Amino acid sequence: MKAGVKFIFFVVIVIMLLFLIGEQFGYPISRREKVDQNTRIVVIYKSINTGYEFWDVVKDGIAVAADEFGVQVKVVGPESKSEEDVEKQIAILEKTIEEKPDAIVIVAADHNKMVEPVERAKEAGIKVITMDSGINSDVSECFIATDNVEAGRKAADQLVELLGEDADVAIINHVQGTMTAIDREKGVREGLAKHNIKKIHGPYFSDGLSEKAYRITKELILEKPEIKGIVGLNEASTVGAAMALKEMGLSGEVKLVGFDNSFDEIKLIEEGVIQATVVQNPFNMGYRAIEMTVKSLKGEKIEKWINTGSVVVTKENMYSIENQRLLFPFIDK
Amino acid sequence: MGKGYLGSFINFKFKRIQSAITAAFLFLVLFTVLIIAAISFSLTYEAVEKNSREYTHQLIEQVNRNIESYITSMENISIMTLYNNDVREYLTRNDLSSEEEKVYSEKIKLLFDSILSTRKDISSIMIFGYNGRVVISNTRNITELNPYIDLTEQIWYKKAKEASGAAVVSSPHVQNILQDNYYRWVVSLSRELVSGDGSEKVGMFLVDLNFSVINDMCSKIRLGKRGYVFIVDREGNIVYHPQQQLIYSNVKDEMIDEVLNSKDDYFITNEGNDSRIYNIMNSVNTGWKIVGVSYINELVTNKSEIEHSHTLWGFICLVIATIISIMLSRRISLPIKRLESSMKQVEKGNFDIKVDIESSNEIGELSRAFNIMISKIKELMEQNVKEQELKRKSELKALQAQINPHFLYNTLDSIVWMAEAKNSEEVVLMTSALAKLFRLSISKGEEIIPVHNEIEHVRSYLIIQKMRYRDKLDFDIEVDPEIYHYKTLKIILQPLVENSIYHGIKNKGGIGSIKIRGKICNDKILLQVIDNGIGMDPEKVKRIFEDSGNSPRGSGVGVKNVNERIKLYFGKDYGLDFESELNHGTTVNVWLPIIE
Repeated sequence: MKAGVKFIFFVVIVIMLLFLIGEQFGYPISRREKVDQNTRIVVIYKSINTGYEFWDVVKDGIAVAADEFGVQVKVVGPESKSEEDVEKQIAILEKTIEEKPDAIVIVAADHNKMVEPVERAKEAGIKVITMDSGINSDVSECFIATDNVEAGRKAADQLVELLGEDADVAIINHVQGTMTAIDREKGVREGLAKHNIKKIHGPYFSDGLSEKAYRITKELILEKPEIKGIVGLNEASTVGAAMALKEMGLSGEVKLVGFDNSFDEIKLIEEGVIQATVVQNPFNMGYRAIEMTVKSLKGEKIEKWINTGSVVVTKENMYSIENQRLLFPFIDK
Repeated sequence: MGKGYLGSFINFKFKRIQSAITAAFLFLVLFTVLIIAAISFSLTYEAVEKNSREYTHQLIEQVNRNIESYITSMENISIMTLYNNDVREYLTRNDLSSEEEKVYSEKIKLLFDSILSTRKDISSIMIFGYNGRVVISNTRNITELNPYIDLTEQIWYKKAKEASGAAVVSSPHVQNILQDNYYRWVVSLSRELVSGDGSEKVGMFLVDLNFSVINDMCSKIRLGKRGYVFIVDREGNIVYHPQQQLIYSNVKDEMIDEVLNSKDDYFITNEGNDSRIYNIMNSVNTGWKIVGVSYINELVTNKSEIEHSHTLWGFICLVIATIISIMLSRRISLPIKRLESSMKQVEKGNFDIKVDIESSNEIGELSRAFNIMISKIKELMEQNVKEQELKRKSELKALQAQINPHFLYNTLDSIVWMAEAKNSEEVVLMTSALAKLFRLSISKGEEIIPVHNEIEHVRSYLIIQKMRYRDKLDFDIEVDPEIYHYKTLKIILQPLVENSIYHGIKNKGGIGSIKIRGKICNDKILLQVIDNGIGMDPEKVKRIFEDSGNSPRGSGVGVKNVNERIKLYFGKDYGLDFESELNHGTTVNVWLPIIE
C-alpha cells in the first residue's frame, strides 16, 4: 500500500474515532427519535359524555403521560350518553384514520363489531392499542385494562372473609355479554369456588341500572332470606343493591361487596351498608395506555397485556393516604 | 486488512517525512482539540447546569413562599380565633342560655364567614368546643357534620391534641367530616383552644385550605418539558406529586428516601440520559420538603446542542489543522525532497548540479555542505581521471621503452654474430638473458613486483649490454637481500641503467662501470644506479626531468617516466634524485616506500 493511501486511511480512522467519542458522550449522530412532539396519538372513548368520573381520571392519566413523554394526545368519542353507540364510534374511528395519527388508543364499544374498523386503522399504518374494553382480534399492540377476573376473585375473597365459608351468595351482574360482566363474574365464581361456597344465586342482570338492581335485590331478599351476601358487579348494581338493603334495614346483616367507586358508594360504605368495593385504577390505565403506545412507536418490545390492577376498599382503609387518592381523584369540578 | 489493520497501523512507519510530520501535527491537534473541547464542554455544562439549578431553586422557593404565606394566614386566623373573646365565652361559659348561645354562635359564624368571603383559598373554618358547641363556617354553607365520622379519630384532631396549643398543619386529605355532596381535598391547620387564663383546654379549631390552590400552583410549574415539582411531608408521605397514582401503585418510583436523607439542597441521580437534578427546599411552617425535579439532558437545554456545537467546532478545527499541517509539512519537506532528488542525480553520475536552497536553517546548511561536497568530489574525480590517464600513458611509454626495437635489433644482431663465430655458450647466455628480460618486464601483466624481480630484470639487461660492449662495460650488483621481498614498480632500474650506458659511459674512454645498490635508508627503500661516466654539470642535473623529452634517442623519456610513475603510484615523497659530478660519474637514487 502506498504511503499516501495509508495516510488517508489514517485520517479517516481519526475522524471515525472522533465521531465514536462524540457518540459516547451521548450526542446522537446516527440516532433519530421516533417519538417527538410531533407524534400524535388519538384516544377514542366509548363516549365522552358518560359523566363517569372514571373516564375523567383516565384522561388525567393520559394527560400526565402525554406531558411526560412529550407527545400530542387528543381524546375523542361519541357524544351520546350511552356507552354502546358502536356506529358513532366506528364513524369517529374512520374520521381519525383519515387524520393519520401515529397511534390510536381505543376503548372498544363492542367486542366484535369494532374488529373490522380497527383492522382498517392498522392497515393504514396506524398503531392500535386497546384500553379497558378489548376487541376480539389480535391487531392491537397491547391491551391495557383491569384484570377483571382477578378483581372478581378479590371481591369473592372479601365476601368470604365477611361471611365465613357457609353462606348463600347472590351475584348481581350488569350487562349480559359485556367483557367486564363476563370476566368479573368468572372471577367471583372462581373465588367462591376456592372457598367451597356453592350456594350461589344468580347472576341477575341489572342492565347497569341502579333502579333495576334495587328491585332485584328487594325481591331476592324477600324471596330468599337465606342470602347473606351479595356481590354487585358494577357501580349501579352495587348502589341499587345497597339502597334496597338500607331500606329493608339489613345494613350489615346482609354483606355487600361491590365494584367501582362513586360518592354514593362511599357514603354507603361510611354508613356500613356496603362492606367493601373493588376499585380499579383509572389514572394508571390512562397513563399506561400512553406509555405503552409510546414504547410501541419507539419499536420497543411490549407486553400484549397490561393489568392496571384493582384494590379492595373497606370502611377501615378508605381514608388511608393511598386510597383517598384512588377514591377521591383530584379533578377539577 | 480489517481486523489486523489496527495492529499494522501501530507498527506503521511513515515512508515520507511529510506524512510523519502531518501525522504528528494531527495527533497533537486532535489531542489538544479533544482536551479543550472536553474542558470547555464541562465548563459550559457546569455553567448551564448551575444556571438551571438556580432557576429551579428560585421556582421552588416561590412555591415555598406561597405555601408559607397560605399557612401563615391560616395560622393568623387561628391566633385571631384563639384570642377572640366571643369564642372564649362561647366555649367556656356553661351558664349561657340557648338564646345567648345562639347569639354567640352567630357572631362567631359571622366572623368566620367574613374571613371566608375575603379568602378564596380557604374552604372552611370550624370550632369544636369540648362542651359540645360547634361553629361551622363553610364556603358551601354546609352546617351538618357527617354522622358516620368520629372527629376525634381524625389525624388533624389527634395531632393538635398532642401539640397542646400549637398549630398543626396536616398533609392533604379529603375533608370528610362534613355532610357534603363531595369530599374536598384540603390542607388543614388545627390547634387546641385554651381558656383566657390558659388553664383550661376548651376546644378544637380547624381551618381548611383548598388543596387545589397548592395543586394548581405545583402542576403549573414547568421545569423543562418533563421536569416537575413534588412535595413530601416530614414522614415522607407525598403531599403533592403529579404522578402520585403511579407511585402508589408501584408503576413509578420516586426518590423520597433520598430527598428525606439529603443533606444538601440538591442532588443528582445517575440514570444516564434520564439523570435528574433534585432541588430540595424545606418549608419551615409545614415541615414539608418542596422538590423541583428537572431532567439534566433537557435542562442543560440543550446538552445535546452544546455537544453538537463542540463536536462541530472540534471537527472544523481538525479539518483546518489537517490542511495547515499538510501545508506546513510540505514546506518543511519540500527542500529535503529537492535535496533528495539532487542526490539521486549525483547517484546517477551527474556531478554538475547545484542545489539552490536559500534558507538559513539546517536544511540550507545541509544543501550548502552538499554543494561543497559535490564540487570536491567532482574535483577529485577529475584528478583521478587525469592520474589514471597519466599512469596508463607512462606505463605504455615504459613498455615502449622496453621493447626499444633498436635494442632488440642490436641484441639479436649480436647473437647472430656470436652464433656465426660458433660461440654457442655466449649465444645461450645472451638469449636466456634476453628471454628473462622480457619475461620479467611482462611479469604476468602486473605493475607491482618484488624488488628481487626488478633486480633480476636489470641484471639480465646488464648481462646483455655487457656482452655487447665487452671490454667497455663492467657492472656489479649489491643489494641487501633484506629488501628482496618488498614490492616495487617494475621497470624502473633498466631505464636508468640504459641512460647511464648511453649518456654516461658510451662517451667515455676506458671501461665504464655500473653499480647497482639496494638498501633501506631512512625508512625508505633506496635503490642506486651508480656509474663512473662523464657526469653532468649542476645545470644539467636541474634540467634532467625537463629536457630529457627532447633527447634524440628518447631514452631520457625513461628517466622522466620512471620518476613520474613512482610519484603517481607512491606519492611525491618518493621518486628519483641525481647526484652527479662532471667527469666523475652520476648516481641516481631511487626512493621507494617499504611495501610488503
